[in-house]
Amino acid sequence: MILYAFVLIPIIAGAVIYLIPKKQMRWVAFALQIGLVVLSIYNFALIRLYGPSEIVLGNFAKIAGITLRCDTLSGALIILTAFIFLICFIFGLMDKFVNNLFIFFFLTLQALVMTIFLSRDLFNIYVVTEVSTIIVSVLIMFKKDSRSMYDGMLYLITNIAAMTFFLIGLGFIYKIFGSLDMNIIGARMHEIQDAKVLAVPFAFLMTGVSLKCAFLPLFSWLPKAHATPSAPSVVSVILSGLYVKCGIYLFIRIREMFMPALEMDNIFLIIGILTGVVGFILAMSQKDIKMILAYHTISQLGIVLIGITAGGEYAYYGGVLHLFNHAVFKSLLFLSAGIIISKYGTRDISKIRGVFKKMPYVSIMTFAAILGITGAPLFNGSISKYFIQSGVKGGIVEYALILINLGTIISFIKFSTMFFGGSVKDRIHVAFGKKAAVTIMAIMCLLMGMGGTLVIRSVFNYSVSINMIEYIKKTAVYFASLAGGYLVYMKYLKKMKFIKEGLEMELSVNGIAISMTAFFIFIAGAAYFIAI
Amino acid sequence: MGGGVILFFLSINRTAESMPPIFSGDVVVAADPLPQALVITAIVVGISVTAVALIMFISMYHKFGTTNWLKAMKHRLEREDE
Repeated sequence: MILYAFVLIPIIAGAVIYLIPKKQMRWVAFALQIGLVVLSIYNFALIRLYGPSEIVLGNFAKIAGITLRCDTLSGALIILTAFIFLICFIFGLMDKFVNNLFIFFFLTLQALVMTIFLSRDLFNIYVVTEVSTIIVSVLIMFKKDSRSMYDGMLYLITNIAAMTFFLIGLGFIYKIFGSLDMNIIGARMHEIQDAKVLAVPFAFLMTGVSLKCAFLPLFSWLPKAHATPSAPSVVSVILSGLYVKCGIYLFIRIREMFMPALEMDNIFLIIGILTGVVGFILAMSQKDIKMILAYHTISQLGIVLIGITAGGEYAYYGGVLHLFNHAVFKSLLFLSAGIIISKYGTRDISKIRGVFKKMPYVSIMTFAAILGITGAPLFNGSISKYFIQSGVKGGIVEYALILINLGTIISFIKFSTMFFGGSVKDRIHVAFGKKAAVTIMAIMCLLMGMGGTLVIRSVFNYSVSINMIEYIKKTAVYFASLAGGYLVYMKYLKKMKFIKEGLEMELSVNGIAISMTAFFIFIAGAAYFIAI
Repeated sequence: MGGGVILFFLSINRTAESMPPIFSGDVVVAADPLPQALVITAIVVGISVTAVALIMFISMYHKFGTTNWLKAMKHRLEREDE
């Protein structure tokens, strides 16, 4: 029964709040968020004690009905969802743009994200993702600025096209297996005699999911949607911190489902490396601080993909842990970027100076996130990156990871130039709620860094250990790349043309559609040849 | 594109002698009812998505004054420079 609560309570509460036009209703929403966090932790504890819980809607047989199933991974992701929405409410509760309509959309989105994490029925996932796409595009253009109109429209059209791919793919799956339940399909997968029949549905499903995850050729919608100028920063936090995780989550599930018959980890490993590299190169060349962060989302998603597909349990759990860590530090970065933008009135990184002297408190908290994303020792990024690296030890992939991390460091050196300079005189006041939100997130950065092994143990019941000597080696590599990155940036890159003027990866809808088709043909062809 | 998907769904598991499983008579081979249920949902979702996209399109036309995507893209880039 508790699983229904995650889906229904936010939507019903959102509708009630919308119908009662009182300003005080936002406090109801806030209380609801706290309740949901408590409930999700309780749910997780139940799953840990008694195993996965499962509900079939409408008392149908399992093969025909719609199942909601919650295992530890979904449970942990639900805690993450409730937690990040709570932080967003703390951060944005007093902002002007938050009216009851906004709260309605926001709560509905929360319910839909939770449903994606819970649902095991492919068609249900399709419907929920489609609806959440509409809500996200409405949230992107919430302030009705003309640029965000374009961004929201681009987001909507590309994602609808991707979900149509997904729909055709699930039709094929139904034709082959006679069921839409992921667990049943996964269990029947080994009965497939000729894995070549799976190539086409696999490619259809994966094209849809890959666009949601913004893998290499399909990412050009992401920076626009996540960093559109007029969208409120809480929306950017939800999109970049949480909503892309739905894509990765579906990727994990679908990969698991096809695992017995069709395995394409090597192809996706290469895609992951390329995504990571291209992401940081584009991030380096941006001037807009939100754009820098959005391109880093792409790069970090590449790292998560590397972790998941590299093979070996350490790398896999490292990848999943990095997914959680990325949610924490990227949310923190977007929150503080939101504060800085609203106080300075500009988004150009070359015009923002002296943040440290004007807002020392916020700056310190932001540094925690920067240390996290670059993988500094003791902070959360380092643990997950350590696990991924020890999973792929001694290969070309390890060097690729070091390269991606170096690129991340270089572009965050550029990012942190805005903290310096300026004068102490004009301190800027930051509201209490915003301070509280960034503080909680910064503490989470540090805690997840200290207790990364504990998180893996409690979520997957798999105990991992950190080899101290290896960890110290990684620390040395980190400091070496920090110094190297600083030197390279100051000496060469600062003067290079594309860093100064900005590199644009601009595709129109037609371009995105062509790249989507090309990606589909590539995956289908590769799957056809790999399947034996 | 939506129409193609719908037709594809209707063709799933259909055989020539299957009958609609509505009457509780002596139906030997019933048609699989699930694809129909899926299709009706897909149609509803498709219609609502189209409606939302059209509304967005109209307001985008009011903002940019063009229906050409490439021109709209140029407008957007120009506004970024301002």
